[in-house]
Amino acid sequence: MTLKTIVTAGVLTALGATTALADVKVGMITTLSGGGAGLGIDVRDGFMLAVEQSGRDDIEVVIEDDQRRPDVAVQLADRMIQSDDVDVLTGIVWSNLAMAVVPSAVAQGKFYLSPNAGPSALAGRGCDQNYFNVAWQNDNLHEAAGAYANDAGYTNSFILAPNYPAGQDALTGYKRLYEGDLSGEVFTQLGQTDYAAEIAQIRASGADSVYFFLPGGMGISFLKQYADSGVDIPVVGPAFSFDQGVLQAVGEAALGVRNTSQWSKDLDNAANVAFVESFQAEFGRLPSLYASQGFDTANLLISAMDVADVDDQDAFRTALEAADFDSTRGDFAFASNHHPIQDIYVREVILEGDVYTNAIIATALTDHSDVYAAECQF
Amino acid sequence: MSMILLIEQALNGLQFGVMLFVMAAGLTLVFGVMGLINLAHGSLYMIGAFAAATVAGLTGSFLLALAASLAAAAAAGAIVEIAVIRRLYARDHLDQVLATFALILIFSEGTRWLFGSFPLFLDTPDWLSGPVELPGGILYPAYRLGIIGVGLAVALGLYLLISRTRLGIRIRAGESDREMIAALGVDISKLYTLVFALGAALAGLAGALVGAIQSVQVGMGEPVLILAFVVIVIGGIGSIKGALVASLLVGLTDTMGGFLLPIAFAQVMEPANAMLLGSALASMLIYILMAVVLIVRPSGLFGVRS
Amino acid sequence: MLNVDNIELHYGAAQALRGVSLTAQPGKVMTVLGRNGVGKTTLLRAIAGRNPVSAGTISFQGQDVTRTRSEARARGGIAMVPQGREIFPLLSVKENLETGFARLPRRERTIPAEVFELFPVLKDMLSRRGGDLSGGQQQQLAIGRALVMRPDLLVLDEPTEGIQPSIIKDIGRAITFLRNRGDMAIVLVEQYFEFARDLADDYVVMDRGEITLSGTAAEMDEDEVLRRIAV
Repeated sequence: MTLKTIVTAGVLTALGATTALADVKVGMITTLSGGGAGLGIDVRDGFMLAVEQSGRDDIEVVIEDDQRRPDVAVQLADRMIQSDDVDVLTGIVWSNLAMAVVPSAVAQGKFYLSPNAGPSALAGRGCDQNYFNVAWQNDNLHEAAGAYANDAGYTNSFILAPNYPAGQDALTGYKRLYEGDLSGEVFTQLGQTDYAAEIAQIRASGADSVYFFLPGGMGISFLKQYADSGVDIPVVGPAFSFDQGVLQAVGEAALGVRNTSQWSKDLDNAANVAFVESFQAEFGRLPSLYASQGFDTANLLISAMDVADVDDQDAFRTALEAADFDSTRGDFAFASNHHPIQDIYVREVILEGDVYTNAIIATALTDHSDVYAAECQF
Repeated sequence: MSMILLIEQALNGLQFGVMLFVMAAGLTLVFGVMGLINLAHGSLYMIGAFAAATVAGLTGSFLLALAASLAAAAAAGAIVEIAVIRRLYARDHLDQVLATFALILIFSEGTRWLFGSFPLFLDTPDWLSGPVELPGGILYPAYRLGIIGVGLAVALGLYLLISRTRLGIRIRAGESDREMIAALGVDISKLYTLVFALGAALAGLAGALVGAIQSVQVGMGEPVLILAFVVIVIGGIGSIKGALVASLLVGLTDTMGGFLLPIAFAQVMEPANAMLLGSALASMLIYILMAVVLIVRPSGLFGVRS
Repeated sequence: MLNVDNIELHYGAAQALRGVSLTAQPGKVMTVLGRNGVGKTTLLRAIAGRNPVSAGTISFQGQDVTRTRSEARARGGIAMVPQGREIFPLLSVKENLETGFARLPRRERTIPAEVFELFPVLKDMLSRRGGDLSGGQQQQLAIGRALVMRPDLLVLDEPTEGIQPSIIKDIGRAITFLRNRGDMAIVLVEQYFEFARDLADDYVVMDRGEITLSGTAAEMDEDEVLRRIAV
C-alpha cells in the first residue's frame, strides 16, 4: 500500500494534478518492545484503525519502535524529519521521551500530535503552536482523583507515586484539588516491583484512603500485594493502573477500585460505540485508554486533512485547533495551549462475564482544562 | 513509629533478601563454576513466571505452576547451555556479555510472540492468601512468609547439595581446576549443563514465586538481574554463602533504608524535601553499600582473592 | 597396553614433540628422563589427553585413543598425577580422594585400603582441607586420588619435585608396591636420576622434543644418560 501510495502520488505530481491536496506523511515513534510495549501497541493499533476506517490512501505512516529509550527516540525523530521528510510526528507514550523529541521536532517546523504524554513543561511556558496534545495534560487525571476524594468524603489520604517527574506531577495534581489531610506521602522507585514496605506504612498510617499513581507493571504489583496484605482502606488511582491492558493481570484485586479517566469503554456516544466494536472485531481484544487516544489522534489529523493542505502550515494548524472530529470521549476541544478541554470521569472496576473492565459511575470534572494554559504564549 | 511497623519492615527486608538469594544463587554458581557472566539469567526468571502463569491458568494449581516454572526454566537453561553458552566459556567476558545480551532480546521477543505484550495473571493460592497474625499482633501476608520459608529451604538445600553430595564435590572441584576434574573422568560438559540448568531452575522458581505478587510481563527479569549482580559482587563472586549473606544485607538495607531515611531526614528538614531527598538517597543505598564493601574487601565479603 | 607411536605435538607454531614413540606394560615402570623443557610433561599431557597431538597415534588397551577426550581416557583407566599436584585446595582430603570415583560403578565407590596403607598420613587428615597440607602430603594425596580410580595406567609427572627426602622414600615404596602387584602400567617422568633409576624397568631420555636414548634399565649406560640429562 505504501509503495502504491508513493507511486500514485508521483504519477499525480508528474501529471501536474494541482487540484489534489498533498499526501500527509506521518512518523510514529512509539514503544513496541520491552516492558512498556503494550501501551505503544495499543496507541499504534488505535491510530491505524482510524486511518484504515477513513479509507484514505493519502496518509502514509512510518512506524518505529523507540524501545522506551530517549536516545533511540531522538535518533528516530532525526531520521524521520531529515530523510523520510515526514509532515507530522506522533506516537510517544512516555513523558521523558516526549521531552527529548518534541521541542526539537516542532522547532524544525513539524507538527507533533501527542497520543499520550502531556508533560507540564510542554503545556505552559514551553508550549508550541505546532504541538497538540490529544490525550490530556499529565496532571489532569490526578486532579480529577483529588476532586473525587473530596466528593467521596475522604479527609486523610495516603499518597504514593514513583520518584520521577510524572510521579511528582501526579502527587502535585492530586493535592491541587484535594482538600483533606495527608496521613503519608511516599515516593517509590521507578520500576519498583515490591511494595511491602509501603503497604506496611499504609497499614500503620491510619489513612481513610490511598491514592497511588503507579503505571504499568508497578500498579499490577502494588494492587496484588495490597489485596494480599489484608489492608482494606479504599484505593483511588488514575486510569493507567486500571487500564484494559493490565486489569486481567491484576484480577480480583482490582475489583471495585475507583479510578479517574477521560475515556471509558462504556461512554455512550456513537463514535465510541463504533470504535469499541470495530477495535474488538479487528484485534480480538477490548480497546484500552491508549487505543482510544491513538484512535482520536488519527481522527483529529484526518479532520484537518479534510479542510487544509499540510504544506500550508497556518491553515492546517487552524484546522487542527478546530478539533472538528467525533471523539470517542464525546465533547472535545482544545484550550489555548493546544491541550484538551474535556470531562473526566470516575470509573469503577467491574467484572463483565469473565473479563475485568471499567464502568463510569460519576463525572469528576466537567470541561476541564489545565492550570498551565495561562502561561502559554505562542 | 511503632515496634510493630519496624518488625514488619524487617520481615519485608528478609523476604526481599531471601528472594534475591534464590535469584543470585544460580548466577553466582554459574560464574563460579564456569566463569561465565550470564546476563540472560533474568530471562530465565521471566520464563519461570510465564510457565507458572500458563500452568496455573490451565490447571488452577499453584503447586503444579511452581513445578512447571522449575521444569521450564531448567529445560530452557539446558537448551541454551548446549546451543549457545558452552561456546562462550573459553571466550572473554565481553563476548559473553554480548552473546547473553542477545539472548535477552531473543527471549523477550520470543515470549512476546508467544504470549503477547500484555501482562499475564498469576495469583497467590487460596491457602496462602491474606494475612496471618504473628505473635505481638503483627499482621503479615501468609504468602510472603511462604516465600521466606521456600527461600530458606533453597538455601539449606543448596548448602547440603554443595557440601554433602558428589555433585557438590564436583562443582567445587570444577571451580578451582576444570582441567584436572576432566582428567579424573568427570564429563565436564555434562556437569556444566547440569549446573547451568540448576541455576536456571532456581531463577525460574524465583520468577514464579514473585510473579504471584507482582506483574508477569516481558522484561520483568532485568531489574532483578541488576540487583542479583549487586548481590554476587557484594557476596564475592562464586560464593553461595556470600550470596546468602549479601542478599539478606541488600534486602534489609533497601527496605529499611527506604523506610527510615525519609523519616530521619524529616527530623531536620521540611517533610516534602525530606521525602524527596530520603527516597532518592534510599534508592542509591545498596549501590553505596556495594561501593563500601568493595573498598574494604575488593573481592567481596566471601570472595576468593585471585 | 599403552602404545605411543611417532606422535608430534605443536603449541601454536612451536613444535613440542617430534616423532615420539613409547610403550608401557602392566607391572613395569617406564621412566622418562630429560632436562627441563625438553617435552616430558607435554608427552604425559598428550598421553592423558590434555593436549591434542598433531600427528601419530596413541593406543591404550588395543583401542586408538588419539582423538579421545581427556575425561574419556580417564574413564578408560588412565590416571594422572600431574606436575604441581593439582589437588583441590578447598576440598577436604576425603573429598579430594572421592573425586576419583567418577569412572567407578556405584558399588565400587570406596577408597581402597591400600591408599591408607601406602600413605597413612592421609588417614589422619581426612577432614583437613587439601590446601592446608604440606607439599609432600599433597603429593601423596594426588597419588592416592589417582589410585582411587583403580587405574590400568598411572602416569606421574615428577612426583619428587620439591618434596622432603622421607616422603620421597614413601612415594618410591608406593610405586614399587604398585609395580610389583603387576596389574598396572606406570609411566614416570623424573629429573631426580637416582630415584628414577631405582624404579625403572625401561627408560627413555628426551631432548628437544625427541627421544634420544632408550632401553631397559638393566642395560642402562648410566654415564651416558647422566651426560644427556646434566644441566
